[in-house]
Amino acid sequence: MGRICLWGSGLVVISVLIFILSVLIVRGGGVLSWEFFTSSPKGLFLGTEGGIFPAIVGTASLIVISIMIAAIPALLTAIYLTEYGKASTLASLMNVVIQAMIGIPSILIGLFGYALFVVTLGFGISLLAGGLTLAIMIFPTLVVLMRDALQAVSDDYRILGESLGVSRRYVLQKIILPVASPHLLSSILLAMGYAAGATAPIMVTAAVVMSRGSASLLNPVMALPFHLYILFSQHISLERAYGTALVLVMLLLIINLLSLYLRKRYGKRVVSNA
Amino acid sequence: MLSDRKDLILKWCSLGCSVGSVLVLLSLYAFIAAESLPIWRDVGIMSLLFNQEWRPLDELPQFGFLTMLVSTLWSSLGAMLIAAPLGMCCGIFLAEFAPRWLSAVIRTILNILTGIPSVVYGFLGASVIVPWYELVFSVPSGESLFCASFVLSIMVVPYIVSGTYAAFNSIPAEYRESGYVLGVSKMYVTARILFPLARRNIITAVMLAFGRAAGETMAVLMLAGNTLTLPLSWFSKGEPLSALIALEIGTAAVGSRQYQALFAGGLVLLIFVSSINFAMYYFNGRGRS
Amino acid sequence: MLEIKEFAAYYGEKQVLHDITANFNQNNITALIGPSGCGKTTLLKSINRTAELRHDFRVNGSIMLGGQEVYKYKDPAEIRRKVGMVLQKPIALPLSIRENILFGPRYYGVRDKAEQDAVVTTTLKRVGLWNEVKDKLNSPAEELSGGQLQRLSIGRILAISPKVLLLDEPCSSLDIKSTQRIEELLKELSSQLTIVIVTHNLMQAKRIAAETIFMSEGTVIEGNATNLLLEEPQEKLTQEFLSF
Repeated sequence: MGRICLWGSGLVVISVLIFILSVLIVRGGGVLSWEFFTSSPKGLFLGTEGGIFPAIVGTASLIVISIMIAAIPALLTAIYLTEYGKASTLASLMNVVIQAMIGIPSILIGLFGYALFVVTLGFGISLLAGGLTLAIMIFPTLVVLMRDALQAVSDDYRILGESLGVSRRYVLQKIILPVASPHLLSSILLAMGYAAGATAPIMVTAAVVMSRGSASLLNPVMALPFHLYILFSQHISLERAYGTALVLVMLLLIINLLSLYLRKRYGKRVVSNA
Repeated sequence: MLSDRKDLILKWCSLGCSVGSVLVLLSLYAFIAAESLPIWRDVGIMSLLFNQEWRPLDELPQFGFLTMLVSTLWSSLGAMLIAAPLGMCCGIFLAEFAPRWLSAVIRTILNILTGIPSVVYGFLGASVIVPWYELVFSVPSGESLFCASFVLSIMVVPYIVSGTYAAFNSIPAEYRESGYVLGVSKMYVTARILFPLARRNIITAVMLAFGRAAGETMAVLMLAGNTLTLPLSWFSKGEPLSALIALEIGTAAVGSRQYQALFAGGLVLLIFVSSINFAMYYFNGRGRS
Repeated sequence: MLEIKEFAAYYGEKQVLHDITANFNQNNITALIGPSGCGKTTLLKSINRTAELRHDFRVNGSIMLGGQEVYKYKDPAEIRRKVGMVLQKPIALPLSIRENILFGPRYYGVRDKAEQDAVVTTTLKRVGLWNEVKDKLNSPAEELSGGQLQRLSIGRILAISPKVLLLDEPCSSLDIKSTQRIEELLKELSSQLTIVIVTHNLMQAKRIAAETIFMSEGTVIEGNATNLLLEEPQEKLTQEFLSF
């Protein structure tokens, strides 16, 4: 009896993924075409025909902006946690803070972003507001991933640097960052994937159903996850909704595979600390 | 030395970023609390939490979260009902019983599943599960808290599995050996020796998953039915707190009662999820076995 | 060159070095012997001030390097430049052989390429690696063997021209031939540097060290010319240790 439960649970997990992928491919695959990727939504009700190009561009812009805002602060914070702050009270506080931030529901980050960026700072529903909000959302995850990447680099190098009397910055710059860079890059990719799929935060800060204005920081944008939501909930086009979902999932799969590849292929020189 | 100066700059910049991020988190809490303060004062905690009417745009507006709180509990507790046994079984399976290669494959699959955005889960749930539900149970409208739970459970299962897996993996081999030398079956060892040792970590994983399910927005938005009547059963329609906020914040006039009330709802959700996270942090931190 | 007077060290509440007094003469190799955990490594790390990287490390007493108080230096890095330490495990920086040697010099300002080349050549010749690696200076240092790596490690330190060289069981993970080469290298270097070597190998001490100090439980028990200490130990503890 127990064995049935155990093996059964494994089977369930496998079937879930197969189910998801097959539904998406079967029902959404038909819509994918060059036109789908490169043209705007068209048709009597916008979206019943045409493609999702603006949503792709919008999502790409959002993740680029959020990464540009969050990456360096996250790296610096990770550096503080691994190199300079090690036993300090701030570091222990930081670890609690980061854990707390990771758990915050994304809609609440959206709420904060709405109140701060859209309303108080007056950016309005815009790419900038959305990018800033997403940056806050991915920041704690990035810090944890980057901290792990830095910690995975063997302490031997730091000890060697110390005994030669060189500064921590020098060891970081010459040895640790180069060794950790594939892992750091894979962290950035994972964070980008996380940002790409987030709907709730951008729903309230950046996204619109159809963007008319030119692409600029202060204009709203279309985004893949939001477009999917609209296509479905407004009953515009079920087929295109499947197509959009398929594109989104494929995008994320590619990002995840790329980040895994980076870590496996180039992370050879790294010796993990016991 | 020049390099020492660069070192100092780096040190202070990195310290600054760390402090900055703490400030951002604190300001998040502060902002949400501040924006909702007026309505906490005017309408009162008891009324906000236990009033079952939510009519923000009426002549005499009513602000009560009871419906939303009950909906959130139905959807997330229901999700745990499905996900916890499934996740624990799978975690134990992967850690103790599955052949290495299969364990690696399934763990990769779980990894992929966590990468799928919640809106896709919501969408698939609404376009596949709901019609199926309507067919099987012969109901005209399948959106319900049950369907929401069902999809939520799939979304959180990977986290329970990985927590359980890690818990079992961290148990030293000696414990297993001491069981086997007594000649008992693997099941017995797993249930009687290993499970109690892993219990604390498993509970943590389940609780954290619960918090995640309670905070989830997109999936429940598309599946729970979004009606403002108090859900009396798992199969009723409802509107979890996260969905309420997502649906109404865009249209609420800034600074209006409704706006403040939505922030109040956000604060409730924030406190709820944060308490779970903090409780688990200390629950785990103190008792490292 | 290196004088230690009534030196005590603490990790938090626990005292790990008691009242150490010792002199390490210039142009000499001194061996430090003693049972495991007696504080030999801590003593080395106290000299080059890497022990204080642990937050609870405290000291009392004095260590003088060339007449200057080691613990009065504001910046410990200056001491670490003058006192190099070679660790037990040969470590290659994930850089080329050339860059490994230049790691320290670059930090301290050697920018000119001709100067760099000179440093690399001189150092590699000093440690006896030149002929073995001169054709592959740009290949990764990780490809070197254990013995070569240890010589490279010594080279890394020599490249920043230290006054003192501390070694913590440098040959314990090497084969006999590599050990021999290192011992020869140390003998050559002893005419230019003050060398202190922690070793578990009494034969090694006999071979290369002019003086030997025996430590036990954080205290210096006895110190003498190597021959005298090993053959006619004065203290009971020393006799017990040597007679195992």
